[in-house]
Amino acid sequence: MDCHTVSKLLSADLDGELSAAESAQVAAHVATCADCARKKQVLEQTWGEVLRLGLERVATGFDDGVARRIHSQRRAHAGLAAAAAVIVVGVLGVLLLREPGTESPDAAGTPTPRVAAVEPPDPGVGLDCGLPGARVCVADGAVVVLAQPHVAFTE
Amino acid sequence: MVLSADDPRAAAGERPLGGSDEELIRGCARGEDGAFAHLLDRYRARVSQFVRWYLGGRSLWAEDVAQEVFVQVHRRAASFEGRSSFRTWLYGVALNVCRGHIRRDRVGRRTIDDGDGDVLAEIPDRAPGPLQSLEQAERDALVRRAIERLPPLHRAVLHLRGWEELSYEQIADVLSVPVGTVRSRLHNARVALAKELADVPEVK
Repeated sequence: MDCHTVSKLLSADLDGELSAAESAQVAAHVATCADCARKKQVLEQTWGEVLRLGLERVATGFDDGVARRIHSQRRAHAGLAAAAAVIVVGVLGVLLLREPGTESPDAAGTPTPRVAAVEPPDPGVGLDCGLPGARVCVADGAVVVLAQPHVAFTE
Repeated sequence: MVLSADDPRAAAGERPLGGSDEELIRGCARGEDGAFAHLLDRYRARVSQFVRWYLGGRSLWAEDVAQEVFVQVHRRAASFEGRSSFRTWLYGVALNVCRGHIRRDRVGRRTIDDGDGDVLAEIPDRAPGPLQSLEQAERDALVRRAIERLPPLHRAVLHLRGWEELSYEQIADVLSVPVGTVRSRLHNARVALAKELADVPEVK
């Protein structure tokens, strides 16, 4: 190995990232070349100075800042989910709250949603679907969303 | 509890309190706040330094960005699949957050460039003794300033090698660059530092 090649390998040698054969070649060259030995020493010394800096101190309150950010992010996500739920319910309402019998089946014969007034839902009936004031149950083979003010949307 | 194979503490036979990093991040994914607290405790200083070095020591927003890294770690904990070590994953997240910050807020325009705002130099790591302190502090400040003058990715590889002791292959994973690039960046960074600190221009 010549000086130029060895010079390029000194850093990796310092990190133990050379193969055993490469490392041996570098060592053999450095042992006989004062110039490369000096470069090696300088690199090691410089790296030692960098590592001696140690880690910088973290400001007091860092963890509290992280906790606040996580909390506010959770609240933001919850707000978005609630807004999305409201939009979904609103869209469903617009689509489904129509007079019964005014809609006709489409070309494919798919029945349009029907709306039926029902009794206020028994709190024990259906499952909570995650939307405020709404529960889901199955009746007469259809999925029924029971939503305030107690109107059943069937699909 | 099992330490990852590349964790320097594993070689020392130590078993860190709370478990290995990988166990903790999985605990975090299960919603265990204690696991996240352990990770925060373990990495807050190192991630903060990585961010500060990457953004440049004078960034006014380094602490905010470092906090955001941990928010993202908390949020994305479930996405850790264990295909790489936790530290590789962690610094990948950190790098993304730093890059996103630079893109969005143009850090370069939010830095103090009057030569007096040496944030790194203002945060000494150790309380110095009375006599050697002045000389040592001056030397440390010199080293920090020399590091600051390096390009961000050079500072990043220095940190990942120096403080995380990641292998070249792991650093390449974090930075999404070839191993040869890591090798040359480390070499160039060290040579640049040596030139500034030791005034040895012949080291190439």
